[in-house]
Amino acid sequence: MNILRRALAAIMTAAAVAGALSFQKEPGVEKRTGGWKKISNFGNE
Amino acid sequence: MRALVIGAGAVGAKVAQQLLSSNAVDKIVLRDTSPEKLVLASKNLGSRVEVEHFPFSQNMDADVVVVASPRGTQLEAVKKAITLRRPTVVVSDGLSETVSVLNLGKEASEFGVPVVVGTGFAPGLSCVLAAYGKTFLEETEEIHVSKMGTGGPACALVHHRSLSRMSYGWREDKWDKRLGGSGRELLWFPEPVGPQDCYNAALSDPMLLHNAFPEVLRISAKMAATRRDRLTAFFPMLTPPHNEGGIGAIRVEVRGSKSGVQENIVLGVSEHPALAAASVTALTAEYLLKHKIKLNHMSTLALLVEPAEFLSDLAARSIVVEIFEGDKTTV
Repeated sequence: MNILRRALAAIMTAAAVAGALSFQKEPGVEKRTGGWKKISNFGNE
Repeated sequence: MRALVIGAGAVGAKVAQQLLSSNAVDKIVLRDTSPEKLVLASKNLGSRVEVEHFPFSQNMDADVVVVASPRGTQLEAVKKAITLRRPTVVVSDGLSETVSVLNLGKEASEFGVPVVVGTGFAPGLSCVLAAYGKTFLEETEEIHVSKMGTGGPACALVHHRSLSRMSYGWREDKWDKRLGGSGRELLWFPEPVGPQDCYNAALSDPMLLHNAFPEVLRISAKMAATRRDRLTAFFPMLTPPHNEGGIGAIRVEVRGSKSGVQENIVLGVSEHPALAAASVTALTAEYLLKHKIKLNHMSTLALLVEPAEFLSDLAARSIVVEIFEGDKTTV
């Protein structure tokens, strides 16, 4: 039973990793990162 | 110089403090119906403050009148100030009262009195941010304002009620009515507020922004709220509101084009709403007293001030404006 449980966990982990990698490798996926930046010099951005 | 501040609540007391600390006025007359608020404010503000309790004198003897009283009392105060030809700054809060104040525009023009409507966090600073965002673009198509948080108890009550009233947004060429509490949208405010679920609400920003920028096709305003806020909005407030809310934020998204390319400009401020509202109001009053605003009728901040200069002056009062910048990468 324990072996079965471990095997299932391993398969699920592998599937999750594969899914994440395939999403990252998908061509043309645009990823936006960034954040809020304080404005200190108004009118001269 | 002498200023009359009507309302000694979370915003009014701070306006008085800021006007005194910047030496824009020699004396402040602080007017409120609550003796407790007046005692507290006068203790903090010192000898240059004169307090006025009900019944109030009929004569508003001041170089500028600041109306920072709760919803339901602002219209009468503005009417009186216009009749007495006193330059007036109205913080504005509730939607219906702001519309009623805007309807006094004809009287203000007839009497030649400068009246600035909407000088709070939102509306107020939100309008200046929209005007500043417009300067990045050649053509502006949409302005979307959102806010999170409340100032004093009066502001909290307006926040509570606005989720159960109809919200008004400008869409193409007519007012678009939507039920308060509808239209959930996840919006990112500057830190530490961060992402918040925002909903349609009876806010006055679209009215003031459409008044300032009638050519903009779409204008909307949303407010951050929880499930409990939306559920209880239809009932009276069950618990008394706090004296002053925690940190809040506003976010203004201006959409348009520049050199034929579609652009989104997102500006925001994260601050205690009452403090930010007081800073905007005090600065506007100072602009009026120093004749930086030349006006003989009723108008809004978005039209009156040069946004970069105004925001720069606000930055000197520790109100920090932020812009959302995204790094676009293709992986």
